[in-house]
Amino acid sequence: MNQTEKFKSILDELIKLGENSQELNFWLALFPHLSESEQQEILSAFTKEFERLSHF
Amino acid sequence: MSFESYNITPSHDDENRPEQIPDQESLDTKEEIIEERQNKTAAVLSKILESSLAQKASKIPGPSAVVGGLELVLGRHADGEELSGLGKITRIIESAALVYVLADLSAKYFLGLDNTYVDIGAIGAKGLGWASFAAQKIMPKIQELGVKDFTLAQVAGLIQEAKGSKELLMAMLSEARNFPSDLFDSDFISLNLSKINESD
Repeated sequence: MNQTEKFKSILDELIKLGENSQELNFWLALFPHLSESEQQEILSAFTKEFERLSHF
Repeated sequence: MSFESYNITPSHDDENRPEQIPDQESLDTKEEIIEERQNKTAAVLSKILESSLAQKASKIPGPSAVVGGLELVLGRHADGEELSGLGKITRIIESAALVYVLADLSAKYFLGLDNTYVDIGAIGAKGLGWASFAAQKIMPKIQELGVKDFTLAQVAGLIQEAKGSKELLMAMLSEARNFPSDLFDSDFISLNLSKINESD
C-alpha cells in the first residue's frame, strides 16, 4: 500500500467516524501534490486523529 | 469527589494490571480532537502557500503590481483603454492563481498585512472563507485609493465566485506552485503577451 492509498484508507475510516467528508476529500485530492515531508506531516496528523477518535 | 476519598485498597490482581488512569488525550472531546488536527493540517497548508507565494511576491515590485492586476482582471487600463489580447488575458485571469495573487498582494501592500497567508491557510479547515475575507478587507481600501467602481465590482465578483469552491482552492494551490513567473516582465503591468500567445 503506497502513501496515498494509506492516506485514503485513514480518511475513509475518519468519515465513518463522522468527520467532514468535504474537508477530507479536499485533503485527499491535495495529498498527491505534496512533497514527501508534507505528506508525512499530514498523514501523521490524520493518523493521530483516527487513533484518538477510535476510542469513542 | 476525589479518587482518594473512596479509600480503595488495591487487590493483588489490581497491582498486576496496567495503570488505568486515562491520559489527557483520551479526556478530550471529539470536537477538540478534530480541531487539534485541523490546526495542524491548516498550518501545513499555510506553509505551502506562504513559500509558494512569497517567492512570487518578491519578484513583483510595489503597489503597482496590484493596479496591474486590476487592469488584467478588467482587460483594460485604468483610463478605460482596452488592453490588447483581451480574450487571452481573460483566459489567464480565469486561473484562480491570479485572483489569489492579486488578493494577497492587495492585502500585503494596501493593508500592510503580513499574516495573510496564515488567514488563507486556515481556511482549508475552516470553510474556505478566504475570498470573503479578501473582498471585505481589500475592496474598500482599493476604492479609497481611487480605482474605479466598476473595477471593484468585477474584481469582487471574481473573488466571490471563488468562495466555497473546493475545486478552485485546489486549482489555486496548484497554480500557485506552477504559475509561470516568467509570464510577467519585471514590471507586473507589462504582461508578456507573447507568452500567452504561445500557450494558446
